[in-house]
Amino acid sequence: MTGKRTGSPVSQSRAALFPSMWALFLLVLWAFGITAAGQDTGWLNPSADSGSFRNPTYAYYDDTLWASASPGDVHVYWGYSIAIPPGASVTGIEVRLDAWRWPSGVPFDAFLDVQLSWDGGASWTPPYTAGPLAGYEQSWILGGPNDGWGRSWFASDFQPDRFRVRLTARKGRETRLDWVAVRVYFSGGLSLTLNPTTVNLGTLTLDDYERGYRDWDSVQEIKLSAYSSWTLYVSATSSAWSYTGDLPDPKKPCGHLLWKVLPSPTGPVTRYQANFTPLSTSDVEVAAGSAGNAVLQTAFRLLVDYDTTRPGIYSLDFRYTLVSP
Amino acid sequence: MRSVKVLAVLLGAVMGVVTGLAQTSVSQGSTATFAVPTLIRLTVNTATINFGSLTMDDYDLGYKELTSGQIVTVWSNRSWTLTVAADSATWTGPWAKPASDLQLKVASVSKPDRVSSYASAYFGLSTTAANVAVGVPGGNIAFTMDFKVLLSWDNDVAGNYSLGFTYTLTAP
Repeated sequence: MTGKRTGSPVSQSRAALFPSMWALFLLVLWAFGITAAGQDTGWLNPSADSGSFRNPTYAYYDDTLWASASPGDVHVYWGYSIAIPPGASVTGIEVRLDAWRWPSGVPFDAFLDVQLSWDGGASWTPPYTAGPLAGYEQSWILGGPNDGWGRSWFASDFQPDRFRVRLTARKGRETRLDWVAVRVYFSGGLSLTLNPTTVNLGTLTLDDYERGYRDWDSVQEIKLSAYSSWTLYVSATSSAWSYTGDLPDPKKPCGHLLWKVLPSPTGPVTRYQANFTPLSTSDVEVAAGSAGNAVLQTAFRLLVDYDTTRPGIYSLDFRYTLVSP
Repeated sequence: MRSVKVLAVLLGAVMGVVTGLAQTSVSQGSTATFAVPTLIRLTVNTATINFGSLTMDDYDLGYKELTSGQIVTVWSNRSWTLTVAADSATWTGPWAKPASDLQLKVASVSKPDRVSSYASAYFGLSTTAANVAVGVPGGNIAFTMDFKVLLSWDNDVAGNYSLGFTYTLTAP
């Protein structure tokens, strides 16, 4: 990629819109906000920096403080807490600069060049440029939802010490920077893994018949990752167990397999099914939670009776589905 | 104003579609399995049926009966057959008293719904297995057994007599 690409500021003018038009505008924003929910990280703050900007930490947050730079100053920000769910594909990156030139009355153009690093500063993308900066604060958004700044990105590129933003002040007298934020877009940010995938209840004994059930002597670990709120469901793929044997198929109901979530799941789990629940062909909620990584452990119990548990081999397929709105 | 309302309705419809499309999901399949062998169990609450010492009244009656002398319990996850046979054709004792002089029958069944048929009338033992009961899969099916030993002034001289017999549970 050659040449420099120049961004455009987000308008901060106060258009005299009719109230009804404002309402419509907000509705549109809300609609597209829903679309974007779970597909990007939101604006994230840096937490570390180095370079020649003055008061550089003042650019960590969107507030009333600012960092400042003279022409030629270079500064690197990093420490962004960018969480890309396992299995997600990064589609684009945006850098937001809330910046302006100072003094405002001086008609010198000022610019901020922005580059990204994925390896702790050893390599850099070609620059994007914000500018010419106005004499008042404007939000410059460089990149976009489908802009990888000239490369493909992986989740590991966003570790806080690897992903960095380098700013270079050019021209003007002084450049002021209120906030240097990053937003990463991704798709498919849901992941779900099971260990083990097979719930082998072993070989039944007469004691199981007398007890009326057999508990699995292990647990199934469910690891999930979701960027936004989530709900995990489980359902059987058929209403009866598959039977292989020399007797007529007893058509053991899928509901004879009971499951429950063991106490104290890890991660942002807000509710879970703690009581044994029959499997059914309809989706039944296993757990729900908020964004992040969670680990659940499920226990299984097989109901055993003489009428539907005849000698033979049985199997039942079931499926977990992780849904994020 | 009318155009604003129309636009709002359209936006609402678009939002509904967008919201629906925005939901994402991922699935993982799993399989549960287990194996069931043929499982049967047969227990007796006592291995010895002791008729005790006989009396002249017993001889006069021609037999001595011992009711509820034994409880035989069956477990099977297949259809099953319970049989009984004498271990030998004759009793051990002062003379070759035939095994058929020991008779038995089922007095009662704990789970009749699990039993298709059973020997409700006395029959004499032989070395050939005879059916005690036939049933469908079930557990803890208890049979209370009555016994009778036939007596004869002519043959049953004084002494100690014993006869071994064996129950067999079969689930083909």
